[in-house]
Amino acid sequence: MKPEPSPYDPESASERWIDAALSEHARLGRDGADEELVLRILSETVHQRPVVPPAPRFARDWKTAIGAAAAAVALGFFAMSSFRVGSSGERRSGELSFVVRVEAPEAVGKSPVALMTGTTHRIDFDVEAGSVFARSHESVRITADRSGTSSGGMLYEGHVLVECDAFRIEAASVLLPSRGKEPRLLADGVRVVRSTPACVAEAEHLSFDPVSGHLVLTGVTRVETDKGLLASFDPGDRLVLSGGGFSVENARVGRY
Amino acid sequence: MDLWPKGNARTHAAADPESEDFSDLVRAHHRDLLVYASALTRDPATARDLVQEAFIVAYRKREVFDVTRDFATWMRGIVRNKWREWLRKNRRYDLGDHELARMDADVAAWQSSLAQGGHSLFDALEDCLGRLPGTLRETVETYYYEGRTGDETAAHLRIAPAAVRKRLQRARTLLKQCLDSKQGEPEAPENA
Repeated sequence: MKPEPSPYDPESASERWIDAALSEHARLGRDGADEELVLRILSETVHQRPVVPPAPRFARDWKTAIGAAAAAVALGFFAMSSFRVGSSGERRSGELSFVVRVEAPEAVGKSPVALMTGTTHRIDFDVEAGSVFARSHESVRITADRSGTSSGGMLYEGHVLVECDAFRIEAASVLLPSRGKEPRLLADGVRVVRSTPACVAEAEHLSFDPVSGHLVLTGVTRVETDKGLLASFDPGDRLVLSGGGFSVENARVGRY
Repeated sequence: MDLWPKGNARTHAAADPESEDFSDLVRAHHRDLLVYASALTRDPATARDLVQEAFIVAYRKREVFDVTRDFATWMRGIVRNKWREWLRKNRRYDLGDHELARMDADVAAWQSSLAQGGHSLFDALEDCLGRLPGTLRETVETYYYEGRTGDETAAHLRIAPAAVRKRLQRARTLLKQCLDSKQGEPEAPENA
């Protein structure tokens, strides 16, 4: 089946059905599942956290749904767009959207606020006017009930949702560290959903390295993949999730 | 209380049986529903969206689902309703009631066959593809499995575009006949 009409399209209903079956069979194979679709469905149903009604105080304080802010890091600065005010009937959440362009190290060498150097990427970082983290050329969206600055950086709390192409992170709180600190996103009380390969993990703490794109989870309680469920972890175990898979690093030291 | 019928594939034990059953149902039914939605919409991305929305609706309405009813039939109904909503905004690929009923019957027959231990649609399709005459099979493989357009298929096979159209039409008709003949056949044991 081709998305656009063409003279090769089937004419009858039966032909359309065969055409669709051939297309899906070509895409999925004989026994394959559409893992991305399955995960999308499960993340909106059985894996969805229950919605907690807003507290009255925040209903007064949070009339705003904070709009998109774009941060461009190409030449060592970023810019945030304005806040957008929503109605009081909307979900009381702050929403910040960043689009970060990461440049090669030599180009970013001109940057006055370059903080982090990776092997291939370098990211500018400034939480005085906002907060930025990214993997290369990736759009990251953060949604939270409330946000503010702390001694460690920009703190988001309450049903925090971090979304990028590869992962979706739900957390009780997220900290984007301030300038001069190690530029990693830190989160507590997390649930990570990765679409491809499908994986859902729950843990007490998370650290996200924007350069490597790795998520490191500690205090892991469960990991679910299409192969099954893992629920037996030691307190010191580290689960490392990357775009292509995951590994468990055991902290227990044996005596020989 | 079991809110859901048991799915075909149980992969692991979960803490929440209801969630586990629903996950199994998603895995067991999403492919047939994708074929159905793709046939209705003729747009793969829209088909996936409709199937996703349909499962979400089903999950939210799980309290009202009658477990004595057939889950696949219920889901097809939801997909159909979602498709009609979509049609109101996009009328490019409308289907008449008679054609819709025929297509629905095709899908239902295969879901019923699978539930009774018969072939899955894709199993049978692979078998039927192998029975197509060589010229038709290579046209199907080039067009569907190599992802070429009709004109590219014609150039690749060095035949006229009209011949590609004719071959595809003929192949789809033969595949439909073959699939009809295989409905209800028990699935052959592996390595047989």
